[in-house]
Amino acid sequence: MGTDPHLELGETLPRFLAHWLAASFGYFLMVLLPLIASWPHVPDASWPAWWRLLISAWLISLLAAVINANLPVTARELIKSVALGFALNATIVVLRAG
Amino acid sequence: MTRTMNGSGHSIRTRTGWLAVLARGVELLCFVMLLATMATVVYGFMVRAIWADGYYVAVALAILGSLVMLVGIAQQAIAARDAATWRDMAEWQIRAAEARLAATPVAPDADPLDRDSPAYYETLIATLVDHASREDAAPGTRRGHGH
Repeated sequence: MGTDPHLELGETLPRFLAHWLAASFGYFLMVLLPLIASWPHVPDASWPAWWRLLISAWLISLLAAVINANLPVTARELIKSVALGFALNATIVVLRAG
Repeated sequence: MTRTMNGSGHSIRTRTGWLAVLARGVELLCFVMLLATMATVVYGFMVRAIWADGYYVAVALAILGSLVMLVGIAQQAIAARDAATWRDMAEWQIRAAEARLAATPVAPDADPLDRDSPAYYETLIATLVDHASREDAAPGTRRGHGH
């Protein structure tokens, strides 16, 4: 405990923004991985407009950012935000499919 | 409940030896994973831009977001290193005070102070303050630090 003042928990705006970005990347990863996996034999699917995707990613990632806003901005903690963004998107996909 | 002490080399920092190496390794692995994530997202948006023709803004924003995150990590690393220098100095002072505290003779019937007790920290702070005021008043009259 207390190895580094910068590793202590506490919400700050830079931390919030960094984890928001990271969670958005996790969200995008869930959207884009099927496309990358099937490229170039892309299934005939209709995708939302880019701004709708971005806005939904930012909104969903808000939850992840609020939860993770007290984590420091290190690669190790950002990966957790990426995973949370990915998981939130996966939850939505599963709920829609079910 | 008894508390195990690390002997004379007791430090506030708990990560030592192979554990520190492991932590650095995990940190490096996470950084590589993060880079892979960024690259995958940018690549995915590019694929979609080629296919759907209109995702170029998303590609630009993804690249911008990656840069912002990398700058944030770098800034944090620099700030942490600055803080580590200050922490080392403070730890050195506290260790010196602890050594003085250990060297201070206690009454034969009194129990040695428990490190978890508030009294220990009260005495430690008093020793630190005493140390600081002595250094200000007369640097030559300082007592030895003991062992």
